[in-house]
Amino acid sequence: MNKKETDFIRILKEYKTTIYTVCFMFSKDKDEVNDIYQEVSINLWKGFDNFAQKSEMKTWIYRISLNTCISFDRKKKRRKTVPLTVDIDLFEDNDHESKQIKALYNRINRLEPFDRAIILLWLENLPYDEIGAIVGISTKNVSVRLSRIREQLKNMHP
Amino acid sequence: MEKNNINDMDELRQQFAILTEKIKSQQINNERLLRTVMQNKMKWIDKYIYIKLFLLMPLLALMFLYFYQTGKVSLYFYITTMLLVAVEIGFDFFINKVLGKGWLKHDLLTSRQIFVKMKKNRINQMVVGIPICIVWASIFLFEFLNYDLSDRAYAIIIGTGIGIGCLVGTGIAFLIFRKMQRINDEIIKEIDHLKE
Repeated sequence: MNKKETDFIRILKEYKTTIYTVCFMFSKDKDEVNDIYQEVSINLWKGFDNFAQKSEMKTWIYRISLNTCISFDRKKKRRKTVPLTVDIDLFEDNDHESKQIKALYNRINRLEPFDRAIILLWLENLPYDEIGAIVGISTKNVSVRLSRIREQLKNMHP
Repeated sequence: MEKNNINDMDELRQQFAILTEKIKSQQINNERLLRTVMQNKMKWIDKYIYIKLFLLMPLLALMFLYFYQTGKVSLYFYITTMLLVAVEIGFDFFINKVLGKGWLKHDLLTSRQIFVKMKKNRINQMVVGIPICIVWASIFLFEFLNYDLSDRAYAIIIGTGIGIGCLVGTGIAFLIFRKMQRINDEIIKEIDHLKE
């Protein structure tokens, strides 16, 4: 295995939680999470050579993951997906923690894709300027959008 | 109300923390996934363009050269056909390799705008391409079957076939165009909503 492959595997393992969280929030079931996760991983691999440390690794991962999730064509017949090594089903499990996660999912999933991206980045405690850089809007606009999103979430029935 | 707002967001944070903790404990990646991912060197669209350019185009050139040499089609038709194929491949290259170059690496808004531009160009390619295909197919049929003007029955059959083909083709093209346009409009609405 060459250095590039070793580095890539290390990064994929380090950021697996970030990538899986994003994929989960943009999917409707476990199979779709698998599909999107694989697609994100492939896009990260293809862009790995061009990642010239110009931005933070986490920012880059978020940008590719969110772009892939938002543009993912759910109707297209996809290539064969490799199952992920996951022994939970966040969509089907019924323990107390899973119910909390489902409540979160049900609210965030009802937002428009860009708003979903913004609230996810906010939940990850990213500063407003970084959120703005990933989404492509000003810091002020991030603040305005977050207020609107909070209002929307507050008015949602669980 | 402000207190409720803060509580709501606190609740979201707590739920999010539960989610990330649960995912952290999972392995997720495995050898097979990593191998599958790293085997991807070329995007499917690049493969598609290269196959068209280096396989399909030479095959078509040879096939129509044979038709020309056996008197089935005219030289003019042969050259026009090859030019149309070259233009079509050129258009694919322009949309995917020029317009869409590195679209994923930009911020979400820019990527989405590039995506819209690419889709618009694909719609234009289709709107122009399908009628040209129908006309080309009609002329090809005409030349290939060595149409004899004196045979009236033959003329009616061929003419009717071409007419029906044109109508059906135009209808299908219109339906596809409307569907693609609707998807593009939805994406444009998302972008405008973000810019508000």
